Amino acid sequence: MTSPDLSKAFVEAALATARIAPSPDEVETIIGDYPKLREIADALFEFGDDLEPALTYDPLDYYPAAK
Amino acid sequence: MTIANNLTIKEAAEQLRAGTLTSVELTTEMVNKAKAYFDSLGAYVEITEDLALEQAAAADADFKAGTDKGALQGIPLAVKDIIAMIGAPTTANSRVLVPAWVPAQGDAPVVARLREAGAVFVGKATTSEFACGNPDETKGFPIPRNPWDTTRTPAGSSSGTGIAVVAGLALGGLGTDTGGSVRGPATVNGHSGLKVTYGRVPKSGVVPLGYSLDSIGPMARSAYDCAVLLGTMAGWEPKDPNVAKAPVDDYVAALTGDVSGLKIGLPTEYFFDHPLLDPEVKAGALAAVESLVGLGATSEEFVLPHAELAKDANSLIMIGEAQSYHKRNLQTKWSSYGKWTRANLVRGAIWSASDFSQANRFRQYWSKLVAQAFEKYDVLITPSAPTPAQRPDEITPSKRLLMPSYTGQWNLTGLPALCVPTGFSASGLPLSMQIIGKPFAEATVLKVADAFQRITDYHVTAPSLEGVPSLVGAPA
Repeated sequence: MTSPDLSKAFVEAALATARIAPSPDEVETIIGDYPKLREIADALFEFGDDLEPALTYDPLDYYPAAK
Repeated sequence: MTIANNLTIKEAAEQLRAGTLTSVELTTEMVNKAKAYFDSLGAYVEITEDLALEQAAAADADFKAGTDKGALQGIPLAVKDIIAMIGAPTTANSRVLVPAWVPAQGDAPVVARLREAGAVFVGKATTSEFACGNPDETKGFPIPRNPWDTTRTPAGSSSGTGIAVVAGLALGGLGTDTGGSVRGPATVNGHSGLKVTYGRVPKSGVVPLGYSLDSIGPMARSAYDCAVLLGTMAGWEPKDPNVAKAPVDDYVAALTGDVSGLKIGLPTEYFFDHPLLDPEVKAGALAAVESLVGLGATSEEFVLPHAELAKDANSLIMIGEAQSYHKRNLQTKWSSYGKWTRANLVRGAIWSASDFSQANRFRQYWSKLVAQAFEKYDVLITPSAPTPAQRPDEITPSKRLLMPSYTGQWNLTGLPALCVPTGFSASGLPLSMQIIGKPFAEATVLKVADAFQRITDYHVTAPSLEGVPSLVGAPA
């Protein structure tokens, strides 16, 4: 859970870090959505602890002759 | 001549070969209708009239000379305006896309294949901006409207192709699907739309949204017509890093009408029991399943857990991948994006790198659950969407966060999923079911849909365009 103040602080920091500058109204909307966005992401951490890698990467993809 | 709004590719192909219709006649009719409803339905960003009539004349000349390139020869199609095509601009419905992107692409491979097959391109069909934002009326692009009720959304992002198919402004076309963008328009406009297995169709030449989720799919009135289109679209392409080498089935030959012994799984949790699921939508899907059971299939309810999380994981991955593509433009051209597009894309700055990685771990977890279900069932069936077509103000990004959705789960797993009409609501809006298959089992989902469409006519029911403003009859 997040409080309105924490939501505001986090959203403003995240936007500043990303160097994205929405209008004040847009920022208010994002702050309003933030608890649900956070809830969505946090819920995903309840699954898949035993699953690695999250994404596969094969260096040989870049050296087809070596395959 | 007047051509019925519910003409199918199959019927047109037969008439073209019987000599009772020419491609020029057919194309002229489609182009004229597209022009007449250009403002009121907003199906097209650009109508490529000269190109279309040139292609149609070439198709007719080929027929006359005894040259037959297949069922798409002379068939008018719409191409979503996020797919590169020689002879027309590609805007992605955006003021941000760099114009130089287009000539560098040439024809996307899928467009080149359709062109080679003798298809006719009526125009570039309206898309949600970069396939992810509702229309912003301040940006100067056509506003797409649902032909069944122009106060309702035609859904997105392949809005224009969906409108064109049901309003008789093309016989079929191309859409792209990252979270439901082929299937949403098919659902609320009342036609068939197939999201293909990830990698089934080459997707280079498409402005990306979520690179690990995007696909190009066929949209048309019937499953049969989708099978015809897919047969030309599918298959390996040497220049495309994402396309699979899996053999391409004969999708039309698979349409036997025989579903006896087919095992249908009905994932009840979330897909059939969500409190926001419209009762008419649910009843339509279940009645369709009963029809298939009447044809010899069997059905069984089962629980596929965490479907809501799967929808959310798909959204998170999609927006994370999209943010990577758009980040620099969001920093420098924020107000050039449509208001709904930037409202979606900005979430990529709110979610973190670990959130993105965890969503991909969940993707593995959930894909295994789905694969276990497919050990028991040949197809899964769900409603296509929780409700019939909504009003635009009901689907803002903030409101959509709280709504169920039944399509993104299958982008997350990369599986084929076909939405087809199952009837109409009491208010006259299309209802739809979704048929999901195993990887590269497009032939199976098309066969199931075709069997249903052999005993129903919802997919060939056309909206009355009475009351929709038209330029027909207006002084030149």
